[in-house]
Amino acid sequence: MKLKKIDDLAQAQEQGRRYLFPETPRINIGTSSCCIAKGALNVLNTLSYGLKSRGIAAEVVATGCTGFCFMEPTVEVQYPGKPKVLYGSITESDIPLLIDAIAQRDLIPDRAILRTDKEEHIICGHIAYADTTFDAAYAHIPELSEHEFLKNQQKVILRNAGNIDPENIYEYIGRGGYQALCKALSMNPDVIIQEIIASGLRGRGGGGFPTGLKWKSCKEAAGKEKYLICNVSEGEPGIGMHRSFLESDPHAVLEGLIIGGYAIGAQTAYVYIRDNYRTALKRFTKAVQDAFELGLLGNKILGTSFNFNVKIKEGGGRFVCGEETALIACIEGRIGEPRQRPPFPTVQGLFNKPTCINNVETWANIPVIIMKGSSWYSSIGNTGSKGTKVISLAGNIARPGMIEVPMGTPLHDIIYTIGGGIAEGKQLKAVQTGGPSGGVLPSNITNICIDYDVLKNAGSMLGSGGMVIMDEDTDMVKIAHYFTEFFAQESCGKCVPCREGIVRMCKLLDEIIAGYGSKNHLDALQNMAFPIMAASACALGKTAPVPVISTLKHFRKDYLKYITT
Amino acid sequence: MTEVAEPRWIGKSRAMFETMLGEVPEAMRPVFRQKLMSVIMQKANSGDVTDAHVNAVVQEIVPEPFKSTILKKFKELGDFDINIIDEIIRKRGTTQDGLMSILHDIQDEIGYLPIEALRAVSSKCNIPLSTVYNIVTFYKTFKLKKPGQHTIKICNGTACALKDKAGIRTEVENRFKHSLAVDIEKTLCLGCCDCAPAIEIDGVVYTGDNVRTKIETLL
Repeated sequence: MKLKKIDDLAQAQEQGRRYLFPETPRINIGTSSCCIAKGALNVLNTLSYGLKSRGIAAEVVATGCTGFCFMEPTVEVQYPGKPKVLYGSITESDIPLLIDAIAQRDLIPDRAILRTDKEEHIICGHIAYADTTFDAAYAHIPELSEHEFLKNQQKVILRNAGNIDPENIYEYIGRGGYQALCKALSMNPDVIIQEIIASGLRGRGGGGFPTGLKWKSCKEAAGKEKYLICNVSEGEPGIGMHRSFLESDPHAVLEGLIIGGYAIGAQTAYVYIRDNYRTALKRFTKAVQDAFELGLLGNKILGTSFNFNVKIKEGGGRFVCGEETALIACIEGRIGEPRQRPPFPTVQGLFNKPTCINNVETWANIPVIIMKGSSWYSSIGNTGSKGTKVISLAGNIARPGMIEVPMGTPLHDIIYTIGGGIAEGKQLKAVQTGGPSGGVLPSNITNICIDYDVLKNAGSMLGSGGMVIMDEDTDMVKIAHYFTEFFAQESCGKCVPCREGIVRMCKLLDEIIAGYGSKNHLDALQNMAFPIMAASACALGKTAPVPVISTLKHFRKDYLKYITT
Repeated sequence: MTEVAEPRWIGKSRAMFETMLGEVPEAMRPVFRQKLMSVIMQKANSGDVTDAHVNAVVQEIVPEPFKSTILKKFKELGDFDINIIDEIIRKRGTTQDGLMSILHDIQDEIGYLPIEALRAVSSKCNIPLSTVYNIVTFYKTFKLKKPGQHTIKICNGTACALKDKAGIRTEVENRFKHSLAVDIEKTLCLGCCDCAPAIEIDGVVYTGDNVRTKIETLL
């Protein structure tokens, strides 16, 4: 099928609905990298084989990550007209039981974790799974909105994650996908940019620069040839949600890019995916191919005069390539060394042409803003930070996972309600937000919430949204050493303060941990931090001493334990 | 003189033949091309031409010092199929912005980046070898050495370092540190923080007890 005009989308949507609501049972199995690590592929294969050999008609679908990473592999069973039921921690030994249940169109009552009767989808609105007559057999299973893990979450970006087959474009369209593109193509590009500015969307990669202003500046830059870049160079330790997201809903990012291309007047987008993200790379490549075949990419998109092309680049495993100028160098086929700004990439970027670089999550916000309008979007969140944020919750927490909360959600709620508290009943010692460049916050976090400015004032940063929870057993000196060592290895070596300074800091920490430390060591660490931060060209050097400074500030006691003299 | 029809070249034979011709003065190349090709085809009994056929012809009919030069150049072709590189470059183009993709593709095909492959890329794309080498050594994903039978990547992310109380990361590292069959490396966060500690074995991420079970199958 090829969509030749905007109205053709309805046809594709119909086809998508047939995939999403088949007449046979539909079984969704999460197959993101996180799920695969826990054996999801074995479950998938055994289940498909089992069903086939017993002649039971059912659609087994490999979906993305549901966010329930703490009880993967997850299997979701949906019978026509019945609530969708989620089962967690399914192993191969559970499969016979599951097959029996599916054959009878029955439940496994004591294994069911939650049920979905209906869903309020952010774009396509009300989705009903259950018939109006409620089946009493399902009554004991908690409803979607009652589960503690989901209660405080708001799924805007992750609206499709875990519900659709990421390699099937029709399922994305079936859930309202590419509607925003159709709407955007009938809008004036300047109006789109105004909408993005009005929405208050800020860059999700860490900097928090207003996205609309970046677009405007790129559009106004001289020259006809312009580029977009989608940054998926997630290299920070402790952050994995962009991978899971891209593996679960690649088309959401693609749609955002196409709209961006139309609004800014760019012809080509480069999607930079870091190395080692093979599943994400594979699924995104498939998404781009499918979009080309359907006429959503290429020349004369949906019968308009708009042409757009997407190219995928695989990175080379260097953390510094997440920095925008280093990323550009990498795409151009040079080594990833950042350069001085200005000129900013919006004026002089890829191949010296105006370039708009946004993070993968920022792009995924665009279709929602177009569909729902800027005033709806800016009603979520608080004063300075709008919308929702996807967070990868990891570390010593009872329920690690990929979550999405409105901006302004207190850290306390995330840790104790969504995350279910600290693992093994231990006490919270510290929270680290924003990857290694962010600081380590002490357990006294009552007034801190997910917000660019609040976190910045607290001495940390939102970054791209990683959150690592550390329990009472954590040695903060070792944590500081771990991050400093990471930066020492990842420094590209262009600026001397960063290349040499961080190695020296690492050495001082080595000595402290080995028991040779003195108060002078702590002073030296403190004194070295300032010049490194002041004299490095890019954010890597500018933030490398943050872990040391913040641990020195909040956890000096841990350092003093090592110091005898 | 009648044109000799191209035989079917197997393996590197085509590249070897071209290397051999490269030693002939340019003006005489068309004549030699026909002549040598028919000799090689005779050797191959008009069937498929393999590396061994070309090699034998060089050994038998080429005089010194050309013979040693050609044989030395054959060695520089490396022990992989040079045609792969031609094909990859055709797909990715010869501009510098395609270089990373070319190198990724070659590494996917051959398993690592032999110096002969880098030389071929450099000359075919007209990019200085020093630039190619600069790229390959800057980005950690590229390997210059032939990898072992298995690759284990230990995630060095925060969550994995934090949650690895049982010390499985060090256990795995120590166990395979001196193994020739297994390459072991610590890598950037694998992005599977919820399954910390995560360890990737031959491209698949494992966690907890799954790591131990998988490792037993490696040995």
